[in-house]
Amino acid sequence: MELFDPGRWAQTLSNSDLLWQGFFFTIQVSLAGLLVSLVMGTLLGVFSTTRSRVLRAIARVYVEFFQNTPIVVQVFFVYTAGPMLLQAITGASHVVRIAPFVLVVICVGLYHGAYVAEVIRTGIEAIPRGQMEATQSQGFTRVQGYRYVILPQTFRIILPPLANQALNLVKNTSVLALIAGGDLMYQADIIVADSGYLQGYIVCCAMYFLICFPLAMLVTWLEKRSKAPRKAKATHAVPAATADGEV
Amino acid sequence: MRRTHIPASDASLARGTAVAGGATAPGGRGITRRGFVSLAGALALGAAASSTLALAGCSGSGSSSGQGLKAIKSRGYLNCGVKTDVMGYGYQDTATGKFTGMEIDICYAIAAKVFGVSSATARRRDLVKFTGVTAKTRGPLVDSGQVDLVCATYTITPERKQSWNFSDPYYTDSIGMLVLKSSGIKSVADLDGKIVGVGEGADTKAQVQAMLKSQGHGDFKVSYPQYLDYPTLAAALASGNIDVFAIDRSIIRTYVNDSNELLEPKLVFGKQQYGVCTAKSSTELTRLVNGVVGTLVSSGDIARWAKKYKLL
Repeated sequence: MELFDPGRWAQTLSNSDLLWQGFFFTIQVSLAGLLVSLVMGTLLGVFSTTRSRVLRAIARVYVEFFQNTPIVVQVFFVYTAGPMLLQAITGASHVVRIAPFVLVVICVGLYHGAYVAEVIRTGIEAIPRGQMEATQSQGFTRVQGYRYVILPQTFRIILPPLANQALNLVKNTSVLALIAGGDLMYQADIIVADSGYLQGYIVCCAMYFLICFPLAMLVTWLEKRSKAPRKAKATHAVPAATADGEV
Repeated sequence: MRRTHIPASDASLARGTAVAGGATAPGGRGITRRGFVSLAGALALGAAASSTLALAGCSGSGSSSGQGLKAIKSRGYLNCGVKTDVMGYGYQDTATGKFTGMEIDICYAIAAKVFGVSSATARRRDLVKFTGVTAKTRGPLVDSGQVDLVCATYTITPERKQSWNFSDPYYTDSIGMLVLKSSGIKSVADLDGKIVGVGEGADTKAQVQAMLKSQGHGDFKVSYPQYLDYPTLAAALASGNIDVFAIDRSIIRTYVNDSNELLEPKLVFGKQQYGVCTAKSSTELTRLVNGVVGTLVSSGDIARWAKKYKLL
């Protein structure tokens, strides 16, 4: 069977420097995309938990739009319409091209930003409002309440789904191949198209696996940790003397 | 100072509240991640072992369905693999389902010879059954006997000749470069620093590079992004993401419109010859096809069709 043909494997592996090039490109795109998605997600996640109707509406519309349209369509739209729109905005004489790297970082970042926003919203909502009231009754300011009580718990809750989003984000960067972006999928596709041997796809899968599997293990570990009862941290004992000063 | 007791206090507060939408599989049921690793290892070993067996067993595959002329005659029609989306060569009208193009005419001429009638009769009596093929499917379709021959902008190469029979070339195609009229690119001398989009799996990039070199522009810095398919390439050109769309002229024809034009149409490079492909096993048909193609070329029919279909 051709799948196990040693000659085809040898030829595919002789092109592996191209695949590694794509591998590192994919990692770079993923990291940058993750950063964008975290920024967008945090912003919108906080928006959707505020009292402001307008901010909540903005967050809602954003999240629903990006969650309910395919990322491939979004990328294609930005790719084909983006240069002309930029030309119109900047008034340049020629269409303004967007580098595939930037384009996909933005698209993937915005797309996953919507999911991250939901993760953060549910994380914040998971902490009962009463806790904030309790902190305030103890003399905390709002910021202190967030800093010491609400956010530490939120992080524990949201980290597993966040890592899960990072994993999906890595896989979604493969849309770069459609716009000749130079990522792992693109390189694999070229190798397969040039040689006609599908071994390139197998190596490509293995490389995505190399990135994603550690992330998946991280998700499992974080999930386990977030379920485990949390041990109290050792704190500095409150010196009895200071208690005298309290009312 | 007053806050020192705080970090410990949050531990006892609300636990067990809804965890935000994580979609990962829980490790508990079915297969755990660690279990998966060991399973994968075992599979890899198994694959390595079976590959040696597979290598020994699968060399003599490929069905040899009756592809002699007799089989075709008793069937009553000729099965031809043609392109469905290449204007002028093999093009299927989506509304009527009718095929048109030079390669369609060639198929009818071959069928006419097989059944001993005129081309016009072959067409009228529907003696050819067309099957749409793509670059990836045409070889396998001939191998499996689903089509008797393929006449679909199939370039004759030494490697392909090892797997299939090819007729003498019926047409020589070359590479065309499509640019936007508004781009200001008027000759290949304007290509320095430009982006030339090419299709995947084609050696267009090498051909363009060789052409630039022969034109004395070997020092030009040109990038060649490769696209999965031609519609995407066309969209990339229209949206200004690439400066030039370089591809076989046969294919480029479909994408010519009011806003773009062929760059230096007189400049012919990257020549390639199209031949009719048949299976190695069908020797009779191959001989007949070769005879028909020879007649079509020498009689000037091909040249007339090329003009009729406005081939670039």
